[in-house]
Amino acid sequence: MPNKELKTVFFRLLFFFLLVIACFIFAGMQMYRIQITRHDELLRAAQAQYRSTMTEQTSMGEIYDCNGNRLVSNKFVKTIIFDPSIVPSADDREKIAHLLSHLMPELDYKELLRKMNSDVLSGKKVQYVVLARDVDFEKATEIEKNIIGMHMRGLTFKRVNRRFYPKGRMLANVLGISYISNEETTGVSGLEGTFKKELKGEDGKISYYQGGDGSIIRGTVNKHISGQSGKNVYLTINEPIQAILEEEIDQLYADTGSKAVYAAIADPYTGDILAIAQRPTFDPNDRRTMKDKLASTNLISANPYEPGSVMKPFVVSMALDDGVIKRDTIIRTGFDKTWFYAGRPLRDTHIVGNATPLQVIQHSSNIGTAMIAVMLGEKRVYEILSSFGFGRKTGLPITPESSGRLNPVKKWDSLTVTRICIGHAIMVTPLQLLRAYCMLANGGYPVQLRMIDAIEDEKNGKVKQPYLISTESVFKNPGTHREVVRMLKTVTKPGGTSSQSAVPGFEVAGKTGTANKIENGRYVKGKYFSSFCGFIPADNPKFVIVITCDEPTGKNLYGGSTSGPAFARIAKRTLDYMDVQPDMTLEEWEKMISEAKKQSHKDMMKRENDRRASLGMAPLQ
Amino acid sequence: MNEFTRKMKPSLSADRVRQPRKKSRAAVVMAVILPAIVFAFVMICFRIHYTTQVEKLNQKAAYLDNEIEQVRYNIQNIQNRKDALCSLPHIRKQIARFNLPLVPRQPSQLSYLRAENSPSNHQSNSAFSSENRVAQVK
Repeated sequence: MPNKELKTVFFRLLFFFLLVIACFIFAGMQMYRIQITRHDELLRAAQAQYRSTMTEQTSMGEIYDCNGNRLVSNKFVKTIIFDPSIVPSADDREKIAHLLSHLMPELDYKELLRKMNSDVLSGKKVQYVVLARDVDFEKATEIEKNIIGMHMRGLTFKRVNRRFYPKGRMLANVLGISYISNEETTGVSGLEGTFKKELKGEDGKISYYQGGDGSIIRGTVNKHISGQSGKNVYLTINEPIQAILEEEIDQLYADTGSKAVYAAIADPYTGDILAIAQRPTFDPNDRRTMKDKLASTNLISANPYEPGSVMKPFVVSMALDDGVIKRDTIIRTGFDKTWFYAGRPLRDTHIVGNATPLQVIQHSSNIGTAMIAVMLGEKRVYEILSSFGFGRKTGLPITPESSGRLNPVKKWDSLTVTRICIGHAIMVTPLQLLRAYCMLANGGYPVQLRMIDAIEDEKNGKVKQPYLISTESVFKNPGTHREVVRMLKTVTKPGGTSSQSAVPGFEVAGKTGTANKIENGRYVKGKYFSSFCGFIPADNPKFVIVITCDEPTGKNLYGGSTSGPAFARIAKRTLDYMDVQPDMTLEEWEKMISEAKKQSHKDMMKRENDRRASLGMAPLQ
Repeated sequence: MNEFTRKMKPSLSADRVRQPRKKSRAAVVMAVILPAIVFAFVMICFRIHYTTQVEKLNQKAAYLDNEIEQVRYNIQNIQNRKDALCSLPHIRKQIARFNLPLVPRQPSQLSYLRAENSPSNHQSNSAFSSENRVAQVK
């Protein structure tokens, strides 16, 4: 090849080689520019495009009883949503409606089609139509898989977290309910409302790189803010005891035909509420049962009333403690069942005659109690009632709670001192009565009622709530408590106002109360609040029970024949559950009842003879 | 040397003398660049393959995450059902349905014996203490 041609070839090759090198150099320069010079800027742009943030949903806290039985939990269901804008074809919509109604027979085909065609019917663009709510989670997931397998578009199965109350009506008024608002579940009443902040928890935020399909790329998850699940709340409620109470007041409500019934059980030494219930009530899983206003109100804390004779032990016990009366003091109540004070009559239901303080309580004498109150004086009576907590809220997290009504002395008229001691001219709630009877049961020590036992969270574990028990008794004299219990025991024995409250094998200390209801400022005949408050075993009480029937109907209207027998049934079953050893054998108990009957007969004879003596008649033999 | 060559001019013949073989620079460069290009190509293919595998694993992990979540929700719902089945009204229904001969215990069915030398003879206030639950034997 001639030299000239070789040179040409060489230069061409050289040129091409240099061109290739130039390309590589250019590529290298670009790479340097992109990877080094503009690294930070482009990295930020890439992260903005591929980084995403999502909310890490945490679960709401649950509510348990003292033994860890779940009372309020979370339930996962699905909502089926249809987007008409994705499925414009009427045939496709019919196919979907047909398929859904086939897979879920409870859904009506025509109704589904009507909802799916809501954009056509309204003439507006619609992208969100709810076809079904609260669909069982497992079932909805299966249907979803079927739908995806059939490549049907337009349907979304959205997970929803609902509150669930596995025990149904149990403790419904206290637990309260929640509503879903803006896809968030929030407590609105009861404990759900009171502790909504603690139960709710905080959602976390997670940032990550997402792939082309939007899924998270492993290894790129970076939590910015950790979420915190809602706190769990443990109540002092004991579920089996609660179940016993609910069953018995169901029966009481049905038997007495009352307008309402409420009851509560508490430990007198710790103030723990073991059970609390009311009728009527509602099922929080079925909101239709909440239409009755009475059912959805917390009557046990919000409705104060005049309690009647259940108030008598407080004044009589403090009169004993103050030394104003002694256990053998004779109170002369008279023999015509009427006593005039400040020009107004006060009546007993039967002749009590010359009675000891024990007999005043045993026979529930209005006159005897009023006489003792007059001896104490207005100021002291007010102090006594106040020291037992009346006129003050209990502080339990049950809303709304009324403080009742205990007027200061300056607002009393001349009669009030004789009425307030027998449970009139004062308004109390069943919870206040429960607290006061806890004090009578535990020796006079003021006790704070408790419903929240512990609160549990991820960080601190289970934190027990404190007990608040006073170390100073309202009784100055150590013998007073013994005497009070002795008096209250007689109520449930033959001769007392509620022998039906007796529990075989145990001694019961309690008091009945039957008070006329007030309507429009006047007492109404035939309408009563019939109550029984008591504790068992009398000398070493395990619990205090307060039961009230609002407007019982039928033959039995008094506390001793309505609430009293219910007390006995509840107490017996609860003692069995708690495995409490009886105070005495059945034979000893029957012997005690028999002796009480004889004593009662003797007392009746003595009363009659006293009456005859006052009239100048010969005594009975 | 043949006649034609002999007749050539010395300068030309000198040019036509077989020269010692020189090493081709271009060949050396190609021997380095070509493998490098091939190597780079292989690496890129491997990286693409690797990324595809990672993406598949990502999707599988996301699917499993979802499955775990579904199982968690199902567990919660099953626990709810269990709690509901343990409620007294439901138990009562079952007792009535199967006509079970369950009756409350009678006081006469229970005997309490007391041990003379029991280490804990005191009775605590709590109804739930173990002392109250254990029969003491003479």
